Amino acid sequence: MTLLEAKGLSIVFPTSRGEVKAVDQVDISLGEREFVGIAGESGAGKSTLALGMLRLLTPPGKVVAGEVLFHGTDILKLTDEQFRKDYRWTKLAMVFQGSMNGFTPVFTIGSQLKEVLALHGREASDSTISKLLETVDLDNSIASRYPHELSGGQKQRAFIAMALSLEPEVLVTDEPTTALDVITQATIINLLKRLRKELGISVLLITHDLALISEAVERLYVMYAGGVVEEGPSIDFFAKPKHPYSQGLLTSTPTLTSNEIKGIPGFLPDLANLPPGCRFTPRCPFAMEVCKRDYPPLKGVGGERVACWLY
Amino acid sequence: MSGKSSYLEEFSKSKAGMIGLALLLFLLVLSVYVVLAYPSNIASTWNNPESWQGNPAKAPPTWVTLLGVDAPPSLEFKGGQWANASVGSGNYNYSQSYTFKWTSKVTPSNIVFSPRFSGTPLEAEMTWSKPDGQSIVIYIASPQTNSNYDATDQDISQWIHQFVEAQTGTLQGTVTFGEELDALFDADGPNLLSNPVLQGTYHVRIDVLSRSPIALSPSSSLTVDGRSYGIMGTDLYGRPIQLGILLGLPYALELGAVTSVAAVVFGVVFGGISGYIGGRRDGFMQWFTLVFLALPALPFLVAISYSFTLSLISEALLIAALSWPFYAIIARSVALSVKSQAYVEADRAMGISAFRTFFTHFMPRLTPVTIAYTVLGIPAGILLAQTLAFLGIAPPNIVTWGGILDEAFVQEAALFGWWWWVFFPGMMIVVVATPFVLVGFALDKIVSPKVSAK
Amino acid sequence: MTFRRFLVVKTISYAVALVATVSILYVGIYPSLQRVIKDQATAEGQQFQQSLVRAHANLTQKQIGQQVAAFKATFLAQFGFNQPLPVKFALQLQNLFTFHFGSSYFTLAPNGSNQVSSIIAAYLPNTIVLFTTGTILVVLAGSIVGLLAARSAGGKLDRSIPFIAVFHSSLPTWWVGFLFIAFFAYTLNLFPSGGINSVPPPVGLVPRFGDFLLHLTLPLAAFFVVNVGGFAYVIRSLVFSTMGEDFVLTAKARGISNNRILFRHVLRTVSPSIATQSILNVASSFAGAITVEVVFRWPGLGLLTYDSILSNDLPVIIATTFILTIVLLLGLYLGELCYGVLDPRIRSG
Ligand SMILES: Nc1ncnc2c1ncn2[C@@H]1O[C@H](COP(=O)(O)OP(=O)(O)OP(=O)(O)O)[C@@H](O)[C@H]1O
Ligand SMILES: [Mg+2]
Repeated sequence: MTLLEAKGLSIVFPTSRGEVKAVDQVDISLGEREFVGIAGESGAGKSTLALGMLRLLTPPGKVVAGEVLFHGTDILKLTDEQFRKDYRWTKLAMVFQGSMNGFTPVFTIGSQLKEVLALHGREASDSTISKLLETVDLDNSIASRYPHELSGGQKQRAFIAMALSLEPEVLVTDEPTTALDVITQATIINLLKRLRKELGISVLLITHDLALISEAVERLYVMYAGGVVEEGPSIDFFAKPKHPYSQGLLTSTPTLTSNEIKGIPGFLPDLANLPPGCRFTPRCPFAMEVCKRDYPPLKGVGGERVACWLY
Repeated sequence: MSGKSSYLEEFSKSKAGMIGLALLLFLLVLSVYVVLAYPSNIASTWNNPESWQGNPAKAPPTWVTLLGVDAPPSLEFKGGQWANASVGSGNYNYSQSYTFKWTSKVTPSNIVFSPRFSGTPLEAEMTWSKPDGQSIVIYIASPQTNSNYDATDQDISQWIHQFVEAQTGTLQGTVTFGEELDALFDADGPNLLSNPVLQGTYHVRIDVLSRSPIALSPSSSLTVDGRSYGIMGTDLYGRPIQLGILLGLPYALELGAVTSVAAVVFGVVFGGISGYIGGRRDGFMQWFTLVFLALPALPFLVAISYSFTLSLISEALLIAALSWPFYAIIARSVALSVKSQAYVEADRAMGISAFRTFFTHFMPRLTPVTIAYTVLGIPAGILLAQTLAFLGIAPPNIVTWGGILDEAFVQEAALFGWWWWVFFPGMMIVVVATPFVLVGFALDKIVSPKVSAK
Repeated sequence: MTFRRFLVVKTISYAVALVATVSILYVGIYPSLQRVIKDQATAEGQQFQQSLVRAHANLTQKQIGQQVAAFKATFLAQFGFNQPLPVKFALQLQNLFTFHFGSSYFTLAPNGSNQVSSIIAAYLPNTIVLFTTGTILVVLAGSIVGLLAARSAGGKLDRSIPFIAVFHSSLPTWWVGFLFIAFFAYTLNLFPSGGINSVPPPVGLVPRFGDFLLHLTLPLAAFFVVNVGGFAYVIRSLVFSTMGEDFVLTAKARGISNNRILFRHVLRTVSPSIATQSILNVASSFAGAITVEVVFRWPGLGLLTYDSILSNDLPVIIATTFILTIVLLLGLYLGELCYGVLDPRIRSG
């Protein structure tokens, strides 16, 4: 059963150069207890999509089209106050890209956990806190520490603990492993897997590191330049990616400092001046005439859906 | 990442910045004009109350008449040629006539006769004819060139007193100081001194008698001091506030500029190095900054002025020595954020020496901030210097607005309602400071996000 | 760094800074200080001579001269005259630090004493009352206005703050005082035009305090008006840049209300910076605070300095400069301690 769903969602950032179409007509869905991944290179619009779905866009960014359904309710239509009270964190929680800086620097971890519990009318005792920290394999002593006294991985885990504190139905995690060493990365992914199983929550995981999530996710979306180019069960995807971009993405080795993915020459197009047709055309080894002219719709290929004129 | 031209372009888009710039140019042009138009010893003229007797004292600006206040401006008669006539037996007579219309209901504040001649005349005779036909004749025995004879001077007042006595029948002694003008302007009769002012045409004829030929200069003058003056009025000595304001302008600008350039350049380099090198040396440099920050500029400069005579430059440098810590503190924090940006690290990794990195990559990043703060620092310097002047500390032979305001304070101008004396000089400080602040804010707004953006 | 260590380090560094600052001051006032000491020696010598003549009528002129010279020499020796410069420096600094400022030329303390230290003791509290109250008001109001402006970015308040800040940088505090006197005291007759209390002061503690507050209002208002805009401007930019930080967004995601984010999370985070800014504000508004005393004839050290300039009372000027340096440094030190208390990176650990 579908829990969270975006339909035809478009998000733009008006800038002096024109409107940056960061997310363009995206359909995406997350089932109950499902573990879904969104992959794509830097700048593809993954974070923007996630933030838009949780009503966390900061101006000038704004949703210009589409709806976001949670249990069938369009949450974009609720008032701020209603959404804050009934949905934020209690139903929809998020681990942010750069959650390292997600804690307010001047309060202890424990007090911030307590604050969120208390604000939503939950029991905020020391034992609750230590239980929460335990679920993410953190020591109880962390509670009395300030964010700057924790390592990056510890902060990341503490933030996951915070995200779980109200037992949300959906947990969106945006690059929860960037800037961490390989071992910690794996630990965090395993932690998410375990938590999903134990707590029965749905997880939407955003990443540009396909290798890391290949075993974790059940289903996968690949985004390119604001649009979804491929979608399907991860078994099918990892067996043989269909979209030329996905193929490049899988063989490439993304690095932390460079925006460019080595396997695919060229850059993302300017999102403020998108050409008609398929946006991957300039970088595509199989580019055809039609690609330049018309935008390919998503169509079924094997168990997956792909937006490419090759199929 | 954007070059200088884009800074300029962005600046030209800032309305406040452009207004500030226009004002600034105007002030600069004005101060150049002041420097060129007035003699260099004008300050000593300013400080000599004698020079200003020809002006009404404590007079409001003339434009208050537009608001319905009856405050006539001064009238000055000067430059007329003297008619001469030999009156026989070796006597010479030189004469000149003045005519003016008085429409105000109040008397002027004074009349001043200033003869200019070479030679030794016997006497000057002034015949003062009122609109009603009455005349007062005044004899000034052996007049002196370059003297100013006003209505309250013994030379003139004794004759006025006689006239009062003739009109009122009372003794001369009942004329109190200043009532001479009532005698000269009020309707005649027994109540001369309390009668209304006669409106109409006044004739004044001056005859100078001499036993030998003398040369009377056209620069001799007769001034009828009004009850208002110029655009900004006068102070207690009749000095025009507008002149004081003009004379104070070059000093204010020059001092502000020198102070701020010195303070900002030193402060930014010091703070920049401090933030850049970090560690123990940074700690020491911060401490050093604190030592100077803790010196209270005002009393310190006052105390120092008793040890050394200030000049404009030494005053500016002293103020700079006390204000650089503010810029050092700001520059250090900017430096820290610049340092955390990747390219400085990259330079390090490539093995470029720290010193070179500092000047080739680091300082250029601080330059825009430096410029913005220099501009913002100028009014701070101006303010401090004027404040010092208000306390009575300023280089000698310089007219300062603070000094004018100090006089106003000592004379309790605010309590006597001489608002123009208080308002304009202070407003001028604001007017001069504001364009710098506007330009500075505009620059700061353009420059700051680019530096701190990560 | 633990807080205790922070405290120790800061205290030592401020104590050393005090000595360094006073040394700079000493260099600046060296010539006048020597003059003052010599004048004092002469004055004391004359007194000594008079008492000598009174007590011992049988002394010859020469004997008296010798004794007086010896007396003067001892007096000057206390200040290190005819000693090497470092010793002289140490001795004179010691005299400054023990508040031995000698006697004034003209100024008298309210109790009639001409000792500079008692004059200062009488004037200093008034400066502290005015300056501290003013600074606290500016910091509180400036922070609130800055926060509110940042909350509604682009709103009326937000857009008007830069204009108020322009005032701050271009208005002389004492001139604003003038205008206040002309308007509130002279035209409206609402407040006294100066002084610290009515003459004679009203009877009873409460009316007396009310009278004091009435006299405090205008100078305080002048100080406040000039400084609050600049402070609010700085706080607004601080809050503004903090609002863009990740933790604000995550706090919003957690369902924390905007007001709570602003007044708890953001405010607490910027509070160490507010402390730093307050420190700078203390230093930069100091000149304004002491000149506003002059205009309102508020009997503090600023007015004392002004009156001493008029009467060339050098010992008083030197002493006020020295005391004001200490006051300023103390203010900075307190600000630093606030910073330490507010920043968890220092407080904890
Ligand atoms: N505030 C903004 N103003 C203008 N453009 C923006 C803004 N925020 C994001 N964008 C643009 O939107 C696009 C999508 O950004 P987004 O952060 O969603 O990418 P991402 O896929 O999450 O990348 P990454 O893997 O680096 O996190 C980018 O091209 C970015 O330049
Ligand atoms: Mg992202």
